[in-house]
Amino acid sequence: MNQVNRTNYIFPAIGMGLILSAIIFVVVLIPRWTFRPPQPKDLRDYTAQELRGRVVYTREGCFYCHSMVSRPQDWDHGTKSKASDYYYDEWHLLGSERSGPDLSQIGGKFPDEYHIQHHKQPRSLKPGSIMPNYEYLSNQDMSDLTAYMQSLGSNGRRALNPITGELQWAELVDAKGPTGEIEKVAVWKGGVNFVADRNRIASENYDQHYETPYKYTAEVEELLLGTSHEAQLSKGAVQAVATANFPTEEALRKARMENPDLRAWTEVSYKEPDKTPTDIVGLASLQKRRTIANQGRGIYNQKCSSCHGLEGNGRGWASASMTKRAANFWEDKFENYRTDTWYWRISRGVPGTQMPRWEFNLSPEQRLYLVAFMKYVGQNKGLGALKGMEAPVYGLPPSSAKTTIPSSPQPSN
Amino acid sequence: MNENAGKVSLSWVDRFQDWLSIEGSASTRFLVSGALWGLVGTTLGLLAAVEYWAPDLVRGVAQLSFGRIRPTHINVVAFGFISMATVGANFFVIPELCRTKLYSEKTANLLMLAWNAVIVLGIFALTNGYTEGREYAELPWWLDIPLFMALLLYIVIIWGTVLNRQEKQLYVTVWYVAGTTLWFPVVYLIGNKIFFSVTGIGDSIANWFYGHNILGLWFTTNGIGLTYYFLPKITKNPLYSHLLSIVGFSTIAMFYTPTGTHHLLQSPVPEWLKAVAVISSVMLLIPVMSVLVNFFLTMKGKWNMVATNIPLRFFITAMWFYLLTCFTGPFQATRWINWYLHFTHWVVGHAHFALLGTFGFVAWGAIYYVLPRVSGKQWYSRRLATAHYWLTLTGVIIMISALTVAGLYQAAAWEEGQAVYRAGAYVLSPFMAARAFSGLLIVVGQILLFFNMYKTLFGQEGSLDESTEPDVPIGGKA
Repeated sequence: MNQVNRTNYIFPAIGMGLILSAIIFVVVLIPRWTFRPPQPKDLRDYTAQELRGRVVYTREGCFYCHSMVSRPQDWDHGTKSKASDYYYDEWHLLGSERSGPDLSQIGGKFPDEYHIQHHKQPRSLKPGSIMPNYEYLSNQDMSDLTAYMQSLGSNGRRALNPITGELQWAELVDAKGPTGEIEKVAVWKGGVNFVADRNRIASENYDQHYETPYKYTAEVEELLLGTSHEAQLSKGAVQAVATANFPTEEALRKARMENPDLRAWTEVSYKEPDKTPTDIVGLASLQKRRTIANQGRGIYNQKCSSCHGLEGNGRGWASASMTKRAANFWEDKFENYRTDTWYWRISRGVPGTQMPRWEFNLSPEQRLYLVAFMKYVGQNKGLGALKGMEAPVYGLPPSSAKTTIPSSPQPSN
Repeated sequence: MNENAGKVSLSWVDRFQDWLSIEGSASTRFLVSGALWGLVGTTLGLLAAVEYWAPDLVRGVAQLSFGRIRPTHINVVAFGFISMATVGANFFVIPELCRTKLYSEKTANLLMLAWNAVIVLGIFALTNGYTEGREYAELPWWLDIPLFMALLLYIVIIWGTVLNRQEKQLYVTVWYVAGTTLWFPVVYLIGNKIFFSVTGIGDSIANWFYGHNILGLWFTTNGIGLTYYFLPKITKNPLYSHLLSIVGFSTIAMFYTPTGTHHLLQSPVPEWLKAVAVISSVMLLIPVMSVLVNFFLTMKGKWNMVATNIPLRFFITAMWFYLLTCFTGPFQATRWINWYLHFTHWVVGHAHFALLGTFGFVAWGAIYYVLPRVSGKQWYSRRLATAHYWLTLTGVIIMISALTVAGLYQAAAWEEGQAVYRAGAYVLSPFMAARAFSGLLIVVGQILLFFNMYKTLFGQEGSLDESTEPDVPIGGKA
């Protein structure tokens, strides 16, 4: 056997060292220098309380089961995560496994009390859940953790406050911290809420949150609510709904009965008239209603028809295998559903059935277009005049409105 | 020890120094520590698995909560069990291959004490919530720095031995082990934010660079290096191809290093980095194929030895697991497969495939082969060793099957649009029960190993006798 000289090892060793250094340079140092997401304008920094909650979240190992990134394919989670979402994070908590749901968009979806109860006894709210119970957390830790939960996502630190116009969804008020110092604490007003969502749509910078060509215009507003919103609702009425941050159908109904402003909502009828109107205004109004409803039909065909059927009679192919069949919108009760009832039902889904919570997937204006179609189907018990119209492909603006509805540019990663 | 038996008046410092400098003691103590941490680590894993299935098992004890037990399990198994066992085996193999003594037995023993102290403190820190919250890098900074120092000490010992060698030619194992000593501290520095700190989403890039390279440039290079030594040694076959070993060694550092970002394929990190990660993940087939072809052709004509030789059986099982791991790995790192499988239990199963199935088995094989040779005692029981093998193998197969199928269930449910909670609550329960059961089998196996080891080292007199050792025959120059 040849005796190999000792020095022969040096050059290959240097070569491998150089290769390794080059790779580390490329995959670690270059991203560090070049990949710096800009400071987002509509995202505020964590409050002291939220940062403490983030430490609790890390300490208790929550990130082993809950991811903190909403991926493109997570269609029911809400907005896709962007690099700038993590701007204020000192260490990352992306996670590598999803034994529990993703939490990147959890903020504002549940009231504080829900989070606390769920942390203490997860199975009291979600039977069969495998989440550990965190009864051992101190009250301070629990409220910090809850504040951190509420700070996440489009309804968290990134959202706009429609009432004050500030860049946050919550009010920052002074409160006493654990050491007795006064600190800013976020008080949340989130939840599914037609009026608040509608106001957010109308607010500035809205396009940054949803990638959608559907645009909420005064025209849609009028067709959904009857007449100009401002004329109908006083500021007090807006507040009444906005502060009922976890509205049930009953609560909304009660609010309507108690508040004359809310009761005064007049809803446009989508019922096809027996005779086609002859005057030009009536004809135009009918055409508008049909167009809006037909646009909602595009969303419906894509997202709803597999269970509820193409004509809304609950005979979708997927309904056959369900324990509780999908709803038949030809039933009489759906004739009387109001805009806010439809909106709430579509957003929140039906617990205990396969009906998803569409607030995670459809933007508020998409849901509003869908409401128009649902009202049309409910009141006409079928597709009616829409049968003759071409259903738009979901995701594209209707051909008649191409000039007035600019599609928002796709944000880059 | 025997020459000191007659002396009576030794100060405790002298006795301690004697204790440190017994020949072969560092290797023995590292192997014993490895086996001990293997038992502790798998027990922690079993506890986590049971909590996963029965979440109300532990109530109100923060230290035993799942979120704290899981990182403790990973750190004890990775840094305690596999790392210490392979380092112990290296302290035997490298001097053998260099035809010299270990550079400094005393330093090696001090390293052993320091390393064990870090693991003990690590268990304390992680169960009490002192964590950095970054996977595989959870240990707080006051343990990162001692561990880094330990790695520097390890360089001194290994390179001291290599530079003192009497054998001019360096065998493949020495390349791997000596290379690892230099690469891994760099990776460790970057991953643990010791001098390199990034905030925001960039932190995840650094974290997964480290998270994947602790596997690629520490466990793999150590484990493969050891297998390069043990397979020819046990079978007495020459290594099949020198060229293939050069190919395998030179490509592993090239293709393993950039793969980390394949853990972040759907996250908002730069696309070019994802492309680099996916391509190099697929290119990993080159080092893997060259190494495995080399191993399996070295076995030519000696496959029957697997039936009788316990260490060889562990190594060969490990290499079959390595084959499966490294064929599923590149496949699940490609974009579309990852799109479907990411975040599911499939990935957890894959991690156990690599760490438990492959490098855990290499560590056990090394313990069975090296311990009699460094301690001079014959194994107490072959039956216990066989039982350990079969219990662990059954456990690993059940665990990986359960996690893989559970992962496919999850992926299909999510693809269909089911919420994580609804898809996960009841459907996965039987798989998680099977996983906990497999953990029980593995823990029982570890108890048997530890009992066997205790009896071997303390329970019997007598020295190693070649004729009474059918399963670990000596001989066959590498």
